[in-house]
Amino acid sequence: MRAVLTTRSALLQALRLRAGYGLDLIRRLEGNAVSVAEARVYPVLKELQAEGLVQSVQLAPKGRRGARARTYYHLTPAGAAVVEAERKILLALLAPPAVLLPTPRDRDRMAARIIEAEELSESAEELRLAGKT
Amino acid sequence: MAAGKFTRAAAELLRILGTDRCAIVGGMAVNAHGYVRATRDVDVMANMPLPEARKLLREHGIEARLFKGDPLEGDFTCLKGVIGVGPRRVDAVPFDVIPPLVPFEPDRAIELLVRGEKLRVVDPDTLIRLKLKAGSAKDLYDIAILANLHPEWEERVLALAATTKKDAAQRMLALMRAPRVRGQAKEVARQESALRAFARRIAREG
Repeated sequence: MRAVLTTRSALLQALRLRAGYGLDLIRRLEGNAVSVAEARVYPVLKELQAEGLVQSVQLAPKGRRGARARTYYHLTPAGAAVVEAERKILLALLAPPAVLLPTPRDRDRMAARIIEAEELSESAEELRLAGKT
Repeated sequence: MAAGKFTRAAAELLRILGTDRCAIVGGMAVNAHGYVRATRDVDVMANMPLPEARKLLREHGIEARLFKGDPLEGDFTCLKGVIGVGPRRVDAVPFDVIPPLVPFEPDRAIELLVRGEKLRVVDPDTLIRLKLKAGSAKDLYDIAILANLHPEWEERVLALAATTKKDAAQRMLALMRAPRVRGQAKEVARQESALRAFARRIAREG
């Protein structure tokens, strides 16, 4: 199953962590099972630039003589603010059911299990080391 | 009593990378959520580019190697390193720092206090997504056990599995219902209940 977001939202979210060129952004989205209409990617990037949410820079790939320069896109501070606002809305929409949220008692149990697992792990490691000597 | 080396290593990694930007995932998170078993390392998911995480670690004298995973093999790019929490060789703890492979909201991480150390463990929803994305037999088995331990997780596991691959939800359901998985989950629950009873008795007598 593949999710369909608007090309605009998808591209903004794809640029959240790092800059990228057009094809790279499409691949990044595909890798997360998000489909975008390829023909819309560059026009939308241009629109985002016109709105001041994205900037572009021409860079030649490193170590490849004669390689064609690529246009890398990155978020402007205004773009980053829009991304965070949209992200909050999307996350609220996708929020996990309240039943999965731990109670204070669950937290105590979680801490106790970490201690138990730690003791188990350290004993296993001691046994491993003893076996090697 | 002082915290053990895995807890101290995890707390130190979270401090270095920023407690508001990361959470414990992997075996330690599976332990915390109920399926207790031995682990050999600490895994942290960080909401930042890996080169930034590497720089932060280096500033604290910790070297981490960028491991480029092959997506076709189900691997992913991560940082691998070893953190020392004491002067002895056995005080070294291997760790992985992974990027946000699934939608990750650090605010949802569960804060725990373990023998004086503050830890932030990934929330159930993100853990389920992460394990489904990793998709190895061990990852799916972990989720199946956890869903048996927490029946309230089952519906969510199946809903999220349905968004990954065709038939994934049916396969997950079959795994969750497998007698071996159910038996193992029952044993885990029985052990936890026995340990809690033991702790209560010690507390009463002490």
